[in-house]
Order: sequence, then C-alpha cells, then structure tokens
Amino acid sequence: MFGSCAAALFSVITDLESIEKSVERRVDLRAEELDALLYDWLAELVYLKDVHRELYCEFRIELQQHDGFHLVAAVGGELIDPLRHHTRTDVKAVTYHRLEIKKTDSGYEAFVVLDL
Amino acid sequence: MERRKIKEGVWEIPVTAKEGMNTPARLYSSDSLIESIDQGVMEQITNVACLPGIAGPALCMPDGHWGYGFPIGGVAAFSTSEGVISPGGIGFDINCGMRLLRSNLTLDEVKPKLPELLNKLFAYVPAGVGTKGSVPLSRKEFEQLMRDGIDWCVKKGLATREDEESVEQRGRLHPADPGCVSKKAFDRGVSQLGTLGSGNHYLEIEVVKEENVYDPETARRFGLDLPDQIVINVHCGSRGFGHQVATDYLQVFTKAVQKYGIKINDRELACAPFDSPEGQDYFKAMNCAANNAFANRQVIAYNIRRAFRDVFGKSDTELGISTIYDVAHNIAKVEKYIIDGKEQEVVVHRKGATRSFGPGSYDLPSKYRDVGQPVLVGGSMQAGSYLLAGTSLAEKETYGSTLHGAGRTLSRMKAKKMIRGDNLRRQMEDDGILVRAASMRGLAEEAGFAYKNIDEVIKAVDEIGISRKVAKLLPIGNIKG
Repeated sequence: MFGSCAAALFSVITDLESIEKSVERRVDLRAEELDALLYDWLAELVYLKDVHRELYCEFRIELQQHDGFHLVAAVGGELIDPLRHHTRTDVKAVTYHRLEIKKTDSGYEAFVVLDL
Repeated sequence: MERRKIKEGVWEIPVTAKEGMNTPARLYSSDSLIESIDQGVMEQITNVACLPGIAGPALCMPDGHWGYGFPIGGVAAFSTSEGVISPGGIGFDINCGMRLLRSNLTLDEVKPKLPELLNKLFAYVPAGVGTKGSVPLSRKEFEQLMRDGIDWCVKKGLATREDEESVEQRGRLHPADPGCVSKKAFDRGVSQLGTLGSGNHYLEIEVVKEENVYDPETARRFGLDLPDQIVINVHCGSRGFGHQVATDYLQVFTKAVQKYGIKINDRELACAPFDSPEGQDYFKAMNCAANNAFANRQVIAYNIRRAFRDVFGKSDTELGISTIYDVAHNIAKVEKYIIDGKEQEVVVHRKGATRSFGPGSYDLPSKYRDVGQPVLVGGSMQAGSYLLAGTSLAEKETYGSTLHGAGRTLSRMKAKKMIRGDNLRRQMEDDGILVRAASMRGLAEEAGFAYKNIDEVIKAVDEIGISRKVAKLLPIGNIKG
C-alpha cells in the first residue's frame, strides 16, 4: 500500500513510465499510527522531489511493527527533465483531509487527498 | 443544515445546528449563489465555529467552496488570550496572494508585441514543476529575507521604496523567527525565490476598458488613468517553503490538540492555543513564510519590469510599471475589532479571503488612506479579475475581510475531462487571450467553466458592501504554471 500510494502521488505529476531510475534516495521514518506514517511517507517524497528536483518511480519498502511502525525505503528516480517528463501539475502537500486506511480481503486500501 | 437569512446577502447557521458550536456561522452570498453552496462548506464552517476561543461568528465569503479544515473563503477571529491558531485556517500555501502592477502602456502599444512579451516573461519568471529561481541565496540571506520580506528586496535592489509602501503591512510581518522554521522548509524554499509555481498560479497581462471602470475617481487614485490601460496581475504564494511549514506544524498541532485537550471535528483543524509555545512557534514560522511570499511576488515584479524594458526598449520611468497593491489571501493576522460591543484583540484567519480595510484605516499607504485599501480578486484565466476597494463595513462585520476569487465549482479532474488543454488554448486565442503554459494538461484544469461566474460573485460583495467595485480587468495574455 505504501508503494502504491507513492506511485499514485507521482502519477498525478506525470506518467510514471516516463521516469527512469538513475538516482536512489533512502527514507527512514517512525510513527505511532499507521495513517500518520503514511502521511509522513508521502510528505517525505514531496520534500525529496522539491529539494532535489527529482521524480520517483520505484519504491522498495520494508515496514516493521513493534513499538509503533518503522518504515525503511529505497526510492529510485531521476532529475526532472522538462523535455521528457510532461508534467500535469505539481503535488505541493499531503493532507489529512478524509485520510483513511482500510483493511480489505486482498490487502489494504488507502484514501489520501493531495494539495495541488 | 438549518440556515436563515438575517439580512440581504447574509445567512446564519445558528449555534444549535451542530453540537459543540461556540458561535453561529454566517454565509455571505446572494439569493442565486446561496443555492449552489455545497453541504461540505456548511459542515466545515460550523466545525470552525466549534473551535475554542472563537470571538464572533465564523464566516464564509461568497466564493466559498470545500477546502481542508476551513472552507476556502473561510474567515474566523480567535481571541489572542483564549483562542487558537490553526494552519487549516490559513492554508498550505501561506500568503498565497495577488500583486497588481499598473503601466503607462495601452492595448494598442502592447498587442503587436504580445507574443514576444509573453515569451520573455515565460523565460524570466520560471513556472511549472521543478523550476529554480534566479536569485541565489545563502543561508544567512534566506534567514534575513524571512525576517524582513520586502525590506530585504529593497536593500538588494529588487524593489523600490514605492513598491514597499504598496504592500500589505509593507511586506514585512512580525514576529518572524527563522529559528521556528525546519531545515526541510529551508531546503525546499531556498532555490525557489521568484518562481510562479503551478496549479492555479499565474501571471496575467490585462487591459482596463473604459466601460469596465465602475468608480473612475477611485480607479484614478489606484493608478488606472489611461484609456485601454495595460496592467499586470500575479497570483502565487510561498511555494514549497510555505507548504513545508504547514506540513511540519500540522504534525506538531496533531499532538498539541491531545496535549491541550482540544476537541476538533476534522484533523485538518489541528490547532494549538495562540498563547502557547506551539502556537507562537507556528505564528513566527508562518510570518517567515508570508514574508517569503511577499518577496517572491516582488522578485517576479522585478523580472516583469526587466521583460517589459527588453521588449519595449523603454526605461522604467517611461514604462511606469508600479505596484498598485499586493495583498495576501491565505494568512493569520493579529488585529483589533469591536466584537459584542467591546474591542478585542484577535488572530484573524483568512483562508481564501482578502483583507478589505476601509478609508481611514491603519496600515494603508498614505496615497490610499481616504479611498480604502485596494482589494485584488483573481477570477479564472478566461473571465478576468477585479480591482475592488475595502470598506468600513467589512471592518464592522467581517473582521476586515472579503472574497479572494470566483470560487471553484468543478474539480480539476472534472474540468480536465471536459476539455483538452490544447483545445482550450486555441479557444482562448480565438477570444484574444494568448497563453504560455508550463503544462497543457494543467491548463485544462483552470478552464473558466470550472469556476463560479465572477461577475455575479463580485456583484454580491459589492451589494453587501464588504468591498466595492472599482474596475474589471480583462486578460489578453497569460503565463500559467
């Protein structure tokens, strides 16, 4: 679910297929609640995108639960290239507006509203 | 939800409408617009009325629509001693706002050179995803900018003293403490000075037609004194810096509501007492972001002057490009109002709402003191914008506030489904509006039909009297992020 949400975030900005993997960033986050961790994770990706001017397409995630939740991830992507990445709009922030994580028969489902 | 009309243009939702309301909520609208107001707005404005220390009614302006926490168009005043401050009442884009510049040029002079002018502006004012500003900043300089806003720009030769006088609170809000700003916010903001961003942010070349001047004397005082005069409108904010400050403090305030035992109906209304360490830290960080936004629009204005000089081969004096006004529409300010018969110091939250101070008010440039504050209202990129003047009634009724735009009626997704960006661009060109957009798909999201009818929304505030119509500004060229 964390990987799918990340992919959804970047597919709001551009077509995921247009992003190649030439750089890798590490993310290490802890939170007491799962939804707070999801918020922090997506907010971290928005931060990395802005600071490095990069887009990401690959998310390798390890999630552990003891004493809250712990996420360690390797995030792959590349520098924004206006010639190759046809951007739709930017994602400026993640919100708690109607944020929800549901357990389903096949896994987890999340609803997140992004500020564009 | 129950609502009753209490006077022409104002509807009230009583305190009994929802459990926990401390004050009533009031919707400013018109008979026709009130019917289109969505249920979400009523839910959100009544949630605001439940927050502790709210000093008077929670208000929603006629352009109100569903937001996060507060509705867009939401205005609320909280006691500085008993009340709260909430990033949800300010918005992620702290000091998103408008800057309007006049010029000595007319439509006939600009039209033949419009494509060249737009290309130059597009080159000088970076727009879209991942763009970098043209002013490199050291850590120390960025901290100085956070404290001093436009004053920093003046010292750097990026603004004139005349620009500074024509900005809300001279473009320098205080207390502003860079020590309350995270490293992340610093990192996101340091390379973005002078950039437009994306979404609904734009730079527009507009014309003031004689038939669209409703109050010629006030228009003249605001610097509109030529037939078919060209003006330039900029809509943007504090970019990644403000968004990161809001993100950081949303997390701080999520814990603060537990610490201070505050009950909120929506997580986006996370808040802290204004008079608490968390509340004060956010206020000081928010002011840093607000000063950054004032400086951002100023650097864009500086580059607009450069572009006009290059294209028209004229000096600054000949071009006469000066700031009519610059005003925030996502902000919290400490101000004083008579509420329940006594003067109270409050922290006014304006979330998609513009300050609208009337004649004689403090913090007006001396040149506007007897006519009131210029109020800048951005419409859709097809319908145009408005220049209004603030009123004393706004100070009596709406904590010195009015609307900020037309207000969305269609989501970005729906708008995009209804028209393709390149078709919209052609349609706009047929209507005499040239467009340079960083993203064609982003363009479609901002189509005129995605917004309420601006003329109707402006008519409503003019008739209610919380600001008055001065002139309508019609777009001829648009740079879209």
